[in-house]
This record gives sequence, structure tokens and C-alpha cells, in this order.
Amino acid sequence: MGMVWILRQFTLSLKMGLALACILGLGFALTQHSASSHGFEAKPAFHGQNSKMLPLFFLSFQPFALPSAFAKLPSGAHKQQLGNLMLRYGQEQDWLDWFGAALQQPKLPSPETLQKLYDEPEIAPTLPFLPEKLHRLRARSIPWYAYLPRPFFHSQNQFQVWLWGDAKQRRGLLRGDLGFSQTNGLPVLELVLNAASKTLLFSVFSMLLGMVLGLFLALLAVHKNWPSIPFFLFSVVPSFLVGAFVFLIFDWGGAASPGSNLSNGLFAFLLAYKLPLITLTLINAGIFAAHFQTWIKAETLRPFFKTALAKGLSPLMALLVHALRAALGLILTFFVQRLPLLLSGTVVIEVMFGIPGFGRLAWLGVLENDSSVVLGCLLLAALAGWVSVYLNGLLTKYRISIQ
Amino acid sequence: MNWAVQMSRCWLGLLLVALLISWGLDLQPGRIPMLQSALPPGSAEALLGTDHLGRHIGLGILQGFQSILVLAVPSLLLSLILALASAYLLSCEHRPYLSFFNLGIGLSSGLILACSLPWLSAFPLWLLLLLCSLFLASFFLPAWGPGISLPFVGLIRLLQRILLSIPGIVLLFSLNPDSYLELIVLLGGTSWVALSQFSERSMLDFFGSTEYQSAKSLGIPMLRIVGRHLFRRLLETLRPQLAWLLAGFIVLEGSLGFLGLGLPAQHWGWGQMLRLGLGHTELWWTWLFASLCILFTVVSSFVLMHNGHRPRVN
Repeated sequence: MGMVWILRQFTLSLKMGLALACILGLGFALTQHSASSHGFEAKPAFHGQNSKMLPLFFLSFQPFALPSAFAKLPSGAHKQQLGNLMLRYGQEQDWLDWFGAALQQPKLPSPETLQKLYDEPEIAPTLPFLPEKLHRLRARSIPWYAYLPRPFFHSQNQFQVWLWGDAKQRRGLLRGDLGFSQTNGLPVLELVLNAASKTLLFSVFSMLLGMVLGLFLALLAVHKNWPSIPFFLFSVVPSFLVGAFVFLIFDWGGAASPGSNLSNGLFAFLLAYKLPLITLTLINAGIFAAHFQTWIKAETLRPFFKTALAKGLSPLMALLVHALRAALGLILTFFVQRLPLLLSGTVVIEVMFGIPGFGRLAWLGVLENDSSVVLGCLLLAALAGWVSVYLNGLLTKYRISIQ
Repeated sequence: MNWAVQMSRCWLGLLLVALLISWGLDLQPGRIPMLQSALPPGSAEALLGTDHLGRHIGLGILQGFQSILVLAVPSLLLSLILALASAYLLSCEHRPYLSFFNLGIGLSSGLILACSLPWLSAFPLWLLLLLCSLFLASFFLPAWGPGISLPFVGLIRLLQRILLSIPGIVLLFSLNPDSYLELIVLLGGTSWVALSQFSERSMLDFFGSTEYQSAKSLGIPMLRIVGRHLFRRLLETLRPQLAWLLAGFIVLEGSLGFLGLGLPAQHWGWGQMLRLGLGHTELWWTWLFASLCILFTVVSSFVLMHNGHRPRVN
């Protein structure tokens, strides 16, 4: 049983990981497409690799190709004529050997001579500078299948380097390397983790505060029989709007700074982060209150709650002891569902209040066309979401097994 | 909640009428006249005042409403179509069967398509197109000869989990769409999962109901059963979800504008107005009207779609 369970979990994790990599690859490709379609000058995708933005596969209709050593020859009229000769008569290596040796000579044959050789191959034995191997030139025939398109694969392309790395400086995503920022050259992993720690500093605090406040409001609303729609209406108000009003009402000085953290004391921390804390707490409290009220109210309609009331328990105690306990599974599931928002749900708030956190890093990455940073942020956000989905599945299974 | 529904209808109706009048007067977005800067509301030239650049606030509000109409409604439709299609695939009895015949047709058509689109240079897009053509061939073509059943139920579930894992706003601004079409595709293409889950449950209930069995035994065509019975039931089930989604689209569009992303600067939206207005808090009309518009429109859309008395989670 244990082994089977472990194998099943392992397989599931593997499948999820592979799928996540596919989706991130797709996102990467779309990001590249989007970045290039904006009309800005294309930036290198990776640190120190400017010329690797290649498609993985390409189709070629060319029946013959010149050898790669040909590209290294000095350009000019001689090179052009040599390319024509190689394509027409084959014997690429022989032509390259001869031309390599001819380059060392003080005088090269003129391009016109080579052009004449291209048109009249029978004059080859009469030319003293040609080696014997190239005396019998015959134009090669091109078979029909050479005109069929053939797929070619670009090795060392940007996807491969991004995923697995190269032999030089990149280790690739699968080996824990997210690359370097194109704006400041710092490692993306370090940047993203640093920013995420700053975000978590206030988002965890506001999520917990919001949950407590939301639970209190929900219990009060159920106890007083208030309608649930005001909470729902509040929960759909955009975060930037709540933030704007908080900014206009509570902005009396003391902004957050990159050095603000809990080590300076709780009061200093709260003072520095008061605007994002108030905004996020209000948003979270509205959403939690709306959902908690619906679920707790649904529990109060069930027979066990009415039995408890009939037995003489006060409505408040019945609510706290029975209805709340029965709704706790859903409450916990919803809380776990919202865990990824600790990182990704603060983008607007961070941009608005200038917090140097995760969301602001991603936003700056988009504005500066820094695809490595954007990808790193997307990866971390997706990872948090995946963990939340996985935890939620486990919780649901646990609840079902208990029932 | 009748008063809330009536108020919502009034608000959205007012915006629609104002938009139509502005079109009639040829005051289309993109042709906003520049007036004297920072005119307060109530002046003769501009009823709602002008911002610090001299742009008419009232026309900006109409332009923002037009952007929302153009974005949110098609995105909602796309999301609904994707959700219904995936739910139908998950709940119907027909399963795609991949035989050698289907494999050949699917692979060749996918390869031809992939090679004929020059912009499709990215490998994941190439692979996606190939897989789509394989799936379509295996689902719609007759299955001749030996082959295998595709595990597409697991694949759709996997896709749902993946889309649930990636937060919408991060994905949206990472891809940085800058046109209406890109925004519609991204909004609709990333937000169908919750709708799909609800639709699937509803469809499974319907296909197992006596209503469906009786209609089928009476010989009523499938298209009519789906149109008259299933679709009506689905819309009832999905209404609260659609309300959330519509409100979410409006909020997302506003958030992108507020962050300075999304549509280009000539599409002057409410998010952009609010962002610029907060830089000049002394000009209160530049941010207040935009804020109220966002608030009223989001709440009105939510109330109208939700119909005021239906809790989201039952």
C-alpha cells in the first residue's frame, strides 16, 4: 500500500512537472513573440547569447548546402564564385582545400577566371593553378527527392539552453538556473527569491488578519441574519480602487522602504507597511466574509444545528461550536486555494505603493522587456499555484475519507 | 434586491446611451479634442472637467466604457465556448480513437499547417498545432483499423489543473497583450476552467436524467435537445459564475491600464485615468469620476448577471 501510494504520488508529480514545463515553454515562446512584436529592439534572451534566438526546427527546400567551413572564408567576389562552383560541381572538400592553399599564395586567380570555369568546365585541365583532383569537373545531377522540404534541427537553441543549459555558463532550468537579468546582470533566482521574501513579509500578515476579520464578520452576519450580497459586492471591487481610497485616506507619512522588516520592531514595520497592509486586509476580509457567511449559513439550516438549538444551546454557542466546526473543511480549502495569491495577488498593491516585492519585480521585468525575470516570476507563481492545487486535492481526499 | 437590479440597469443604460450619442456626434475615441488643462467640472467646454493634459474627462469615461464592452463581452463568449466544448468532450460517451488512418491524416495535416505558417517558429506552438490536428482527426474521422483510445479526459483535466495553477494576472501581464484581439484571446483562453467544471457536472446530470432519455426515445434530434433543454439548464447553472467572470474581466482590464500595460496609450481607459489622476490628487475630478465608473460598472455587471438573489456557492 505504502509503496503503491509513493509510486502514484511520484507519477502524479512527474506528470504535473512535465505539463508545467510544457506550459512554461509555451509561455516563454509567447513572451518572446510578444516582445518581438512590440517593435522594440530585440534583446538577447540569455545573458551573453545574442544570436541564439532560433526556431527549433526549420524546413529547407535547398537541394544542396554549402559546408559550414565555407562560412568562415573571407567574404568577397572570390568566395561567391567558389560557392557557385561548389554547388554546381560538388567535391566541396577538394575546392575548400584548394582555396585554403590559394589564399596563402601571393596571387589569387581572378573571379572572372572562376566564372569562366563555371560556364566551361572543360577548360579545367588547362588551368595551371587547379590541382589534379579538380581537372574532371562534371555538373552534378539533382535527384527529384532533393527538392522535397527537409526538416533541420537547430542544436543549442534558446529553448534547449533555457531548459538544460549549455557547456559554458548556463545550467538550465532543470538544473536550478533561471538565468541572468538583462537589465542588471544579476541571477534571476536570487532576485526573485529576494523579492518574494519582501512580499511574503506583509502579504502573510494581511492574509491572516483578513481571514480573522472575515470570519468575525461572517459569524456576526449569520448571527444577525444580514444578507450576504454586500460582502460579495465588496469582494468584486478592484484592488487598485481600494488601494486608491486607502492611499487618499490613510497617507499621513511613513512609507515602506527596502530596509523595512520585522527586525526594526513590529510597530516600525506596521507603520512602514500600513497602506498595503490595510488595503490587502480589507480586500481579503471582504472575500473571506462573503464566502464564509454563505457556508456557515448553509450549516445553520441543517438538522443538527436545529437539534442543538432545541436542546437549549444559545444561538451564538451553537454557531461557534457546531456550524463553524462543520464548515471548517470548506473554510480551510478556500484558504489553501488562496495561498498562491500571497505572491501573485499583490502586484497592483506593490506597484501602487512602491513596495520592492515580487509583483513589482515582474511588472518592471515586463516594462523593461526583461524576459528572464518575467519567466522566473511566472515560474515561481505557477509553482505556488501548483502546490496549492496539490494540497487542495490532498485536503479534499482527507475530508472524503473522514466522511 | 430589486432596487439594486434596477439601479444597475439604469447605470449601464446611461453609459450605453451616452456612448451612442458620442458616436452620433462623431466624438469617437482617439479624436478627443485638447482643451484648456485642469478645467473643473461644470465648465461650458467640458461638463466633467479636463485633466492636467487638457483631455475631456467625460469622453475618457465613454472611451473606457467602450473598451470594456469590446473586451469583456467577447472574452466572456470565448470563455463560455471553450468551457462548453471541454465539458461536452468530458461528459459525452464518444471517445477519440487513434487508428493508423487517423494518425496519418492528423500528422500530415498538422505538418502541412505547421510548415505553411511562417510565424509559427516556436517549437511549443508547432507541437500544439500538431497535437490539435491529431486530436481533431481522431475525434471526428472514422476509426478504421487497429489503434488506441486517446487519454484525452486525463489531458483536459491536466490542462485544467495547469491553468488553475498559474495566476491569471501574472500570466496576463507576462504575455503583455497590446491589442484588443490578443487581450480577448488571453482573457477568454485562461479563464474557462471554473466554467468548464460547473458545466461538466451539469451536463453529466442532464445526460443521466429522465428528461434526456425521454427526449431521445421520442426521436428528437440531438441538436434540438441540446439547444432547448441542455443549454437553458446550463445557463441557469452558470449564471453566478458568468457574473464573477464578467466582473473579473472588467477588473483585469482596469488593472492592466492602471499598471500601464495592456492597450496602447491612445485607448484611454479608466485604469489609466485613475493612475494619472492619483499623481494630481488636488484635481479631484480626474480620479473621482473614473473610480466611481469602475466601481458602479463592476458592481452593476455583477448584480445584473447574478440577478441579485443567487449566492455564488450553494
